Amino acid sequence: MTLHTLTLRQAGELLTAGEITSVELTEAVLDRIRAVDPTVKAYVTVCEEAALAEARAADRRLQTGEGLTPLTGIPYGVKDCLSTTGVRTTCSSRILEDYVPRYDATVISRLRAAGAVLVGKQNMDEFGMGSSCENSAFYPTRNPWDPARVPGGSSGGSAAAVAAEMGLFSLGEDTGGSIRMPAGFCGVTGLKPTYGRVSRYGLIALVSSFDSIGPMTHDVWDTALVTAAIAGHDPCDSTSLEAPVPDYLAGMAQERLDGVRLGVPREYFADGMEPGVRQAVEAALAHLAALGAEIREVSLPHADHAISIYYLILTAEASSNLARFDGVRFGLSEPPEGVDIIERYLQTRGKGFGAEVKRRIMLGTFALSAGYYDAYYLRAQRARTLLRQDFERAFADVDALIAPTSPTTAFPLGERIGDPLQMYLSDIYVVAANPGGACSLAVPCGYAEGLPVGMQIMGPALGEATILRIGAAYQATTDWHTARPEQLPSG
Amino acid sequence: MTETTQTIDQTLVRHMADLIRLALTDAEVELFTEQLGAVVGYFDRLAEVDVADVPPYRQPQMGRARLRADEAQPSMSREDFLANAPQQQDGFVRVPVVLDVPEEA
Amino acid sequence: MNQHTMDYEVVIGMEIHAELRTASKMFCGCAVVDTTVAEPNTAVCPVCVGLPGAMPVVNQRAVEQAMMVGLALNCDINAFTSFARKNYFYPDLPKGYQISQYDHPIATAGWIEVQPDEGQPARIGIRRAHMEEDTAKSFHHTTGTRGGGGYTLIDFNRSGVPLLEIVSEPDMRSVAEAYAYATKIREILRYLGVNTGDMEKGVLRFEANISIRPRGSETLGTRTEVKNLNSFRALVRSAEYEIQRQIAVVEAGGTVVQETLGWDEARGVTYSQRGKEHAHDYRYFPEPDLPPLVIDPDWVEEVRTSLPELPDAKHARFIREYGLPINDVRILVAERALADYFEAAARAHAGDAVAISKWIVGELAFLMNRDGVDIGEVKVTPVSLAALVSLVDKGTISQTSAKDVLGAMFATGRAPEDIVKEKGLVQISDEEALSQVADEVLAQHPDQVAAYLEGKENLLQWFMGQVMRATRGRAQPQTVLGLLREKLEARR
Repeated sequence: MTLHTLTLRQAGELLTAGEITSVELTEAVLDRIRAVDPTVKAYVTVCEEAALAEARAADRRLQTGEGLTPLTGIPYGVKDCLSTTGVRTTCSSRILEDYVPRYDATVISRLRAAGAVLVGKQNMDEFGMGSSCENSAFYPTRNPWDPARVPGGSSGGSAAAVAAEMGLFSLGEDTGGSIRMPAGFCGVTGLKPTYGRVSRYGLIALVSSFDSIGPMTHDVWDTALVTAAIAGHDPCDSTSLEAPVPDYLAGMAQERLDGVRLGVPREYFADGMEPGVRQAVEAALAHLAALGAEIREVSLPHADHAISIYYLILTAEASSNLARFDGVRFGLSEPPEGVDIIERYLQTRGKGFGAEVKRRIMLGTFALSAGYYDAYYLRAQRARTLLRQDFERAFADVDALIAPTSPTTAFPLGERIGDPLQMYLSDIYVVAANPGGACSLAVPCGYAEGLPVGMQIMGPALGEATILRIGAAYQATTDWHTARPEQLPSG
Repeated sequence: MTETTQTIDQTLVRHMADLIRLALTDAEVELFTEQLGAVVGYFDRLAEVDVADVPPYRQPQMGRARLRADEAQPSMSREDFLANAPQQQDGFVRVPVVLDVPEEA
Repeated sequence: MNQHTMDYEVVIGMEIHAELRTASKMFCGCAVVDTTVAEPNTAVCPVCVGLPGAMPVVNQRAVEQAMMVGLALNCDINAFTSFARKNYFYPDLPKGYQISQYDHPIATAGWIEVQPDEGQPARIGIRRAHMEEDTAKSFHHTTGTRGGGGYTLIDFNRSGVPLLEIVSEPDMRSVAEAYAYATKIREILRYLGVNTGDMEKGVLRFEANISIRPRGSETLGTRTEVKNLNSFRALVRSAEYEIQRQIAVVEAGGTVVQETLGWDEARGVTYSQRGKEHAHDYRYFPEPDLPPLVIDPDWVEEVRTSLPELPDAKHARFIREYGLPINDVRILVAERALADYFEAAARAHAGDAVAISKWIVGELAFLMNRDGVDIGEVKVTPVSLAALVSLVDKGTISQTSAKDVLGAMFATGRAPEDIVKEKGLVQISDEEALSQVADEVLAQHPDQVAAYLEGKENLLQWFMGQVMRATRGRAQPQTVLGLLREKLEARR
């Protein structure tokens, strides 16, 4: 049974034609999970029975032909930070290890309404804090291309699940590269939409100002299909944008990029990239030029400070967002008896949070404290304005920016975990888009020593149609995105 | 605006941990002091950026139309709410004794 | 007051928290319920209990009510207003932060005028009014020992209810001024219909910031904050106590410590609330889940034109239009419903509004107090009260009878004419009939007639009494008086 190897679009066509059923497709994915997830460990929770029930309901819909969408009957997984009714939602943290929500995130409601089939919740760095999935409180996810290496993070499980064909798409979440960087490491396609394009209601917040939910798929066409299903204003999210959702599929058939201007930020191509990564990205640029695009150098002068800007705002908002995990209304509560409320807080949070979470929320508290607020948090927000202006100026000259997703390919498990600052620096190319107000698409663009290399196509706010079109043209004329890791058992 | 390059010491780390209600072991305090010191040292590079006269980023504003109409909606059932609560009693959420007083009325 | 207090001036500022009477909560659609009667935790949702992933959405009516209050307090309404997080840990604060306002509150720079019971009228500045969400309610069952089996129960029905915090300037210079200020604020909130003012239900809460300084000094002394005052009595008693306490500290050579204090009603003392010294680092930052809100001038105008007539304006108008004595006006205006009742009655009554007012602040108020009935529940309609007063004016019934009639109207809601007829209270004003009775009375008491003619003029009242007895109180007094005088003079 190779149904699990289908792309979303392929599967959709077969389902609509009645050649396969959703139950068959879902069972294939569940079988695949049983076969390879013991190695990859992409999933925290697999909801087999519920998934099959949803698949049966989808099949009924497919038979009547009523209310069909491109996603009807399609099995998928989500990063474990999205609230799913009746299904454990943990953020890969001990503090939520047994938390079962009673409401759905808006994106989940929309996917249910579209008839997609939720297969399970995917591993991540705890509360999205990490770039390797090694900060999960449960276990690290392995890169399907080399299980001794990390899949990237924090949406490591979501990326690995798609790469290992354990789900036809994933919903990940990107705060500072968390979709794009693991997409690059795992050789899959991932989109960080414009902040506010997709509702955050029901997303367990890390950084309220940056968090963006987005699809992770085998190709750009699939990305367009999923984005169309989840994007759009939500009255439950006051930061969601009211701008109408364009037809993302309109540009998918293009194979040429004549007239398209692409910018290459000089700050990203100066130093620091591994030779193999540089080679792959430069080859991709040459290919884009061959499709008719004009390549220009641009500058993002404040890119060098993006990591500081990003982490100062992140830690500040996260320290506030994670205050609700206190053992009172849900989640871990330690110890059960014999203390006062203060001790309950201290023990619950002391035992429930991992080291990276603790580090970041302490940093955030520091950045917001009286006496330090101006020099740290406020300064970061001012510098952020300058970073946004950098992007605006760049996008006045070009339609999109091209950059790698990471300076290196997937690094070995354990290599960076002892040095937090080193870990932060692996985000150098992806971290600017969120505070900068951009959208960004990650696509595979080659290999270095057998490991995938990813490329970012960054666009201005609400520029999804543009970057998807560019990505589609690239994928129509290359085949990096069709490769699948060979290490894992298949069939 | 004066710039402070902050030396992160153990007292500060304990103070921050206390503010956000985190119990840390002595070993953790020592480790975190070193690690956070390195990170904050990196952040201090932001002092190189000239932000005089640069306003802090503010989200685009919303108007009256984005507000919610004042209509009561059905609530979450108490059963659903309390199903997640670690401790409950007679329809209330129960917590250990609160000795400190609230900070606000 | 001991003689030392003459050397000190007291400076008071107040913070008043008022729950707004909207249908739903500040940031979610849960109903705003009476938390003193509703079953616990029955008006909750992911947003107001801070479940992971929930997000706030601002209640439009709450913003409007906040604007109404700001305008009524002569404030500037900001062209845009924004929300901020106030971060601290307490089990009644589900998110671990309260969404409040910091940099750009909805209203600033206002004032009201107050008339304390003792002293001159005073203008009290309003520094700001801002919106925030209320916390849940905690019920402590402590045994006083850490880990000794005590526990706290929490009801989240109140969590997220819209709250308006009104912060005054430290302009009050006496407890009487503070009392008058709090009274006025409560009155205005009730007038606007945004708060019932029911202190016992906790919908209105006071905090007093108190300091003393040598009389004539320009600098402010160190202040203490007395929190959780849930009655006017607590406000007055705690302020008086705290002033004396601070004076005693200073007189003994000490300095007042800036701290937060609670008020122990039973023991009649303020007490220091044990809190960590960094308890006040709330780490405010702009709320990222709520974009700043534009308040366009059209909206402000809409709200301004929708404001009801406020107490001060009504007060002035009642004096001007109805010529009422100032004490009557004070009583009528204190409650909007009472003022409306008066006006309805005055308009239904062709004659003197003063008479209507007297009946309301006198007899009707007496009956309302006696039976614990609100003006909203009173069975006597304004129109029927006016009818009663007309009956008295026309002489159909006597003043005394009218009181009885009102009592019956109050109990039954029936029309005065019906009651008068039924009880046979119509006054006798027929001169001939009264003349006859007068003649009889004078004939029966020749000694008193003689005494009157010799100079005991006050016997006229006595003769009146006799006529009243003979007619069972139904004689028209003016007519009787006139007839008696006439007849007595005729006998000289």
